[in-house]
Amino acid sequence: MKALSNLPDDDHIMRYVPWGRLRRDGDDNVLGFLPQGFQRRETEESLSVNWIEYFSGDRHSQITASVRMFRQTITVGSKSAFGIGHVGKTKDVCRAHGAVVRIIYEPTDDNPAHAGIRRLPREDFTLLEALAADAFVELIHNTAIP
Amino acid sequence: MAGLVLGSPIGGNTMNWRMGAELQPAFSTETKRIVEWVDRLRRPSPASLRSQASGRPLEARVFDALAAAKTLTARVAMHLDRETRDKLFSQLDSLHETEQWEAGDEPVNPSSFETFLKAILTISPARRPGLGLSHTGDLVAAWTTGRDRLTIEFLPNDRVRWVLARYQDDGEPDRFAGQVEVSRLVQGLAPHRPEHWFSNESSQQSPR
Repeated sequence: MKALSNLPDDDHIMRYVPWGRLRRDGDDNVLGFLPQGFQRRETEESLSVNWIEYFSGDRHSQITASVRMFRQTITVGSKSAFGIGHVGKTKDVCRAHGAVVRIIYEPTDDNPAHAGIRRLPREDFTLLEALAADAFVELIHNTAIP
Repeated sequence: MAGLVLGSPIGGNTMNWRMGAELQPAFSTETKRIVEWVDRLRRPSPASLRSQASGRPLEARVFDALAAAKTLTARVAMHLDRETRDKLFSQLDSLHETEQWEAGDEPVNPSSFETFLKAILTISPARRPGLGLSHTGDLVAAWTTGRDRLTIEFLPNDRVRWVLARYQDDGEPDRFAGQVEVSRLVQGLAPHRPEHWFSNESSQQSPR
């Protein structure tokens, strides 16, 4: 796929979420993701994710490869987790909150699976909550991937 | 109580936490106590506790931020039971394990923590929230009941923003959000039955 192409709606993306932005209960049991886990920084033009279908093999192999790619390119905390979202569903959730986003293949030298969610509002707390709860519905603990 | 607007319009500012003398006889002992707690929090932190901006090593900034948070807590410690206080410190320490951080993350902002304490003292939830930290150092509190979620971010200077989601029988969520002065947080949440999250009778979603 060419860089800057839209990812297929039927594909999936993976977002790295560090410990401090995991949703937990009062006893620190992990329940999901906080909205802040999907807030891009002021200096970022897009929200960084991995394109899972970049990798070959069955789904488990693709997920494992994506996590390992994150470990090669960023500091992955031992207590962190990864959120998996369906591309089409993610766009639907954003659209329902008035945001028309593009999910684009943005390979880098370090990470050929890198993609980005562009035009995502930074400060729309309701949208970020919806992404955390309804778009990235699958959570993979870092400790679950060898 | 439906809200905690304690100020008579001193200088036209109804958000002032000081209680006008003329209103004191109208308030209960408990309300007056809360006002005293909050007033203690408003006292300036010693300069030695203010975390200095970038330029200092991260470990030093984390140490300073945690020290400031614990000092602020100590000012109202007599109104928090030991278990609550110990658990809060444990949660803060957990959030400041820098090996779990992304590059560029900041420690808890003392002003954000101050806002958090004010909120917790007025809400007085029976259930302890899960805590998180935004990458800019704003403290986040989360309550979860089944699929329903309440998330509050504590901003500097007594501002809070919150979002809640309540899932209906058809599986679709109703979402509501607000951004208010911390003194009006209770009022802001009141229409949404916050006891759904704050009371002990609420059940929690199983950990993933």
